[in-house]
Amino acid sequence: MSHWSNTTASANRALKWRSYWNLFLSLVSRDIRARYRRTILGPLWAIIPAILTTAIFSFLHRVVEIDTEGAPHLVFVFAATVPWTYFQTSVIRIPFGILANGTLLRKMAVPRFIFPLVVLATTFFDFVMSSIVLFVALLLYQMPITPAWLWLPLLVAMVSLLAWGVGIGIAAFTVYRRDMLHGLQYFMQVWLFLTPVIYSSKELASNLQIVYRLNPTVGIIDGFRRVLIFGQPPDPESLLISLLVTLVILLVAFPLFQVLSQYFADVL
Amino acid sequence: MPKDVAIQVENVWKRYGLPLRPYLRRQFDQLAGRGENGFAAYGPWALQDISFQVEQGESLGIVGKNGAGKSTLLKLLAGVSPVTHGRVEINGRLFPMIELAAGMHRDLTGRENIKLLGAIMGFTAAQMDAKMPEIESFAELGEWLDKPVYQYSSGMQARLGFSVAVNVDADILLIDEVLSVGDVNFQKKCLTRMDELSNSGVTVIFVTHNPYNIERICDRAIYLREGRVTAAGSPSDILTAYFQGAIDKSKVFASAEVPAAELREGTGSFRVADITMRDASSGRVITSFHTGDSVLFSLKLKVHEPTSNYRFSLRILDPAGTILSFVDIPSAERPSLALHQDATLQCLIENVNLLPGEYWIDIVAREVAGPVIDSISFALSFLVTGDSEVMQRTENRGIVYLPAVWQIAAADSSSEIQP
Repeated sequence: MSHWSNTTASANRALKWRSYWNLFLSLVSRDIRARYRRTILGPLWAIIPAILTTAIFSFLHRVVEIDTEGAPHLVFVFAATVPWTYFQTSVIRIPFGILANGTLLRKMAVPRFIFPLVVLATTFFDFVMSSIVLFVALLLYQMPITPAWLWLPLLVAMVSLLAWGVGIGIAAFTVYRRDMLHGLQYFMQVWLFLTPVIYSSKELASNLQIVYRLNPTVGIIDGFRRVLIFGQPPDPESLLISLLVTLVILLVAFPLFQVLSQYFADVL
Repeated sequence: MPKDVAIQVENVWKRYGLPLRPYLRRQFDQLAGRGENGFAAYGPWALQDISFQVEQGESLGIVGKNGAGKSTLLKLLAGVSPVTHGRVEINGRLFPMIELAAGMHRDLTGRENIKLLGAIMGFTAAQMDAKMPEIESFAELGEWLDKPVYQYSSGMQARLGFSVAVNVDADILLIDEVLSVGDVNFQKKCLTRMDELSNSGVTVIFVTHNPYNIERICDRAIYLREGRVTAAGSPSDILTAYFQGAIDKSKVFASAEVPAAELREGTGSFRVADITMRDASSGRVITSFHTGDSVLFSLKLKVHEPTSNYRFSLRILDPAGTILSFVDIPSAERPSLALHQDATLQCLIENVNLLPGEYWIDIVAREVAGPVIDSISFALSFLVTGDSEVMQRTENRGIVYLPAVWQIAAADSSSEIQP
């Protein structure tokens, strides 16, 4: 406001951002607590999806021959399904998160980007839970903890950023046209098969690799597997491609979301 | 913006949705040399050219029918929806009391939800803990506070939301018809709290489609119609404008909305064929009169079976359907009103002390201690306009005018009152 001095204006801004942070924390705690309120298994549901996916893919292994580069099949798949489930769940839940908070968006002028972050944080909670199970599985299979594990924070940050970018891009459109909502499940299934989750990244013919690796999840998910299963650093070239593609997605999705989200209250 | 102005709205236009398509349409038209109309041609507009200003501590009422743009205006003030053209400036901490349950989670307990709503309004957990006792006592939910909200009745949910909302320290409150929640006692409590807030210097924007509500709370009002400000001024001016706006909507008998005689309920011993309202002295058919005038209701009856054993009543209603008065035929007069053939029944009501507004009449005829003969709901509407003396005395507040005499009792006369 024009008559306020600069110091009160900046103090006011700090106060505003603190209240946004406070709101973010409250919404995350609401969603995590409420999610398991009327369930029998409770927070176990945080880890069940990753375990079920692993179980299904392990069963697949008995039917189809899959090259695991010599690693035990269960952890070979598990190391990829945990980050993949985090990615997939976030992308699917972000648009739903915007729709579910419609009444709130129509009422308060809080920044719209908070809501995708809330979804990301709640699925991150699930990711941490299933990571603990994964860690236990790695211990049971006597996989060593190597210096390569230092790559994990970067990989986690990258998969989070990518999930956020894809999620808000889809969410921005979904609020206006619901087609993506109906197709999202299948879209993510196709994406799953284009990512080395149930198979090794070495399986693809090398002449396809260039195109294939433009898929940003390839470098990241394969990175998790290299680090956790083989104790190697991620393939630098793949990881760099993933990073660049992720940045491009963010550079498109975030401004798009910011522009389109101004009008969310008009159509929700 | 001057310091004492809380809200400034300047030439605001609002069109819903993304502006991309109208923008392209306009660019295309300009290229084709058809762009002279300016942006106004690229609607549909929810609000058109709205300007007003609210000073700090003032209470502004916004009236208008459904779809007039009231809620849209609130959304713009709350900042959740961008203006298409023009400018909205807010000075101070604003809280919209709309969608009070927004953000609540049905699986969480009442207490958890109070904290959540607090965070949504921008309070820290510590601040909410400090406010908790006050909120708890206002909500009157007792042990229900520790039960999940999905078990609450809708009234209890509204109470929870309202209790948090009225305990926020906002400079500007936007209120949208929330006063209709809860039972009568809770409503009274809410109204009292609203009065307190507005007296303590909070700027209040109050939106309603029931114009009587603005008299209680507001200093000033604007009347929205089809997205435009049709009138602005004191609440009584706005009430007058609002009801004048209603005049073209008035339905007289035999309009399409009154069902044909054979479709109406009742035994049909006789049927009301026509009803008119007339000036008591001249007998002219009228659709409106001044507070305190005498009017004559004239009911043309088609009699199929002669009867004297009937009751006839006119019910005077406000637009919400609340019965303000019953006008019946006293039993002593029944014999003289026996019906033998088609007749016109007349009912003279002297000094109708209804205050300016829109009113309706229901007609019910029934046999004494027997079935209904004929009935028409909302059969006729009429308008009461105030004469200046009544307006001065009542400031057009309320529904009924009760002429009163005020005086200071002389010292000796007080002894007469005592036994």
